[in-house]
Amino acid sequence: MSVWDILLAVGLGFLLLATALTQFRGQWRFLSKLKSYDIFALIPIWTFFAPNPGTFDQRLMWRDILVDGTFGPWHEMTPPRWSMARALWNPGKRERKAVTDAANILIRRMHKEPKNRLIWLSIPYLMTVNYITSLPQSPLAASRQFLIARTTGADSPDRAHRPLVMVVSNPHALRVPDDAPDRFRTAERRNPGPATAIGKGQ
Amino acid sequence: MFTVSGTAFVVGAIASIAVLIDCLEMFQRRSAYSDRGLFDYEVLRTGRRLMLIGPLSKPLLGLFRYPNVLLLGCVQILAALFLIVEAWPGTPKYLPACAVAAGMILVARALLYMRNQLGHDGSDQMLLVVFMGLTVAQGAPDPTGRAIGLYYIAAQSVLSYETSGIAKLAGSKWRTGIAVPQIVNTIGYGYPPLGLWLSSHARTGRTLSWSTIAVECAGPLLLFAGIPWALAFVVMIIGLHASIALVMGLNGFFWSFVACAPALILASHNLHAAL
Repeated sequence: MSVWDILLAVGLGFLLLATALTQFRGQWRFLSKLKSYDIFALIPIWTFFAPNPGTFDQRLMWRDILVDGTFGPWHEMTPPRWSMARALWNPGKRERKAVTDAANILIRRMHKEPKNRLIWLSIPYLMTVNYITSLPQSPLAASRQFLIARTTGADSPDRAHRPLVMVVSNPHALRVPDDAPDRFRTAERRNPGPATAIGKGQ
Repeated sequence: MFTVSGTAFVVGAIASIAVLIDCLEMFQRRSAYSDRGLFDYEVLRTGRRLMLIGPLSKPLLGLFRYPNVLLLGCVQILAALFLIVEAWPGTPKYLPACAVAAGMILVARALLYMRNQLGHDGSDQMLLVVFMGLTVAQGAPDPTGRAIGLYYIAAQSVLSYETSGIAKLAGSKWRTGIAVPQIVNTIGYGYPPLGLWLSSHARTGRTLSWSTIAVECAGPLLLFAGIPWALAFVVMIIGLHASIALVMGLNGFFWSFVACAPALILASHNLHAAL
């Protein structure tokens, strides 16, 4: 065994040991800290769907609040879809997983600290708001809000369980497209600010 | 029969299929990485200090902004194709070049992990493990060092099944047998008609839940019992991951976890010979 072999064995052995210990990160704070420094995911987490598996779909919906204060219909962002082809080709899975991850984090933090506004600066919140406000918009839409709901089972009118709404965001002002006629530049849309109350009219 | 270099080529080829599929999926959904897409870098960079300020922020901005980030996918595709060609019987073998290709995939995937932060799953983690082991297995200066790389892949694979199995044992939904029917009763990770059927056939649901736990907890022990038992374990995990891909749509899990199988067989063979 050469010096190189010993170095390789020690290095990979350390990663293996760190992986084994990190599976119990809930018990020891320093392990959670260690994992938080692992920005390249070289220390994997292997507890798939356990001990408490996700037994519902996280649904991310958005709707417009129009310039006259009325609400548009809810639309779903990256809805889950089943098909046999997913076994070979499933290009939407990463976005679906990101939405699910973001929804889980937002639900956990907002229910733990409902008054903590720092959540609005978190990556899950910002990436969700950034994405929904970039979707095509009517010139009559002043702002947009999102909600996260949980469902189980298939989407059918006779579903056994009603969707469970977990989080509803404040409305977020939309940008006016550069080529929009001036008559659409209402007071609120000229000065897009932070979140406003739901249903605020012009 | 079970050579270190031969095993490394097979592991590399199977894992490269996972990389090819993942990168082609990334290209199909490239708009998600663009400005104001779900993975818009202007938003994501606010989540990590070194991406926002400091000496690395500018080079990382250059690499991670759209469309430059797609280069990380291109690099992986080229390296994966090279590893597949190298695994083909009769092709001249260039071990150092294979090590470089595996290392390039490792670095590109680690960078993408750092950039996106959300949206990764266990198959991404396993691919990082596999390509780290492969970089060592094909780049180490002597056979012992190369074997260490493959043993690392095998050990992480065993750890993944054991951890997952033990964690399931700790979950009441798994122990009572309602976990599989309830997971399958979602659209995102299941097929609701099948989930409903399983819910009304409690015994089948219990059998599936406990079979999963049994394969994950006890299966790796078969590696100590010699090659025929190790092959039986490999067949079980191929069946497990194929059914997961089919029902849950986790296609990446199949290729990334099955890629470890040759390393598991090699480890079992050498372990049994040593005992």
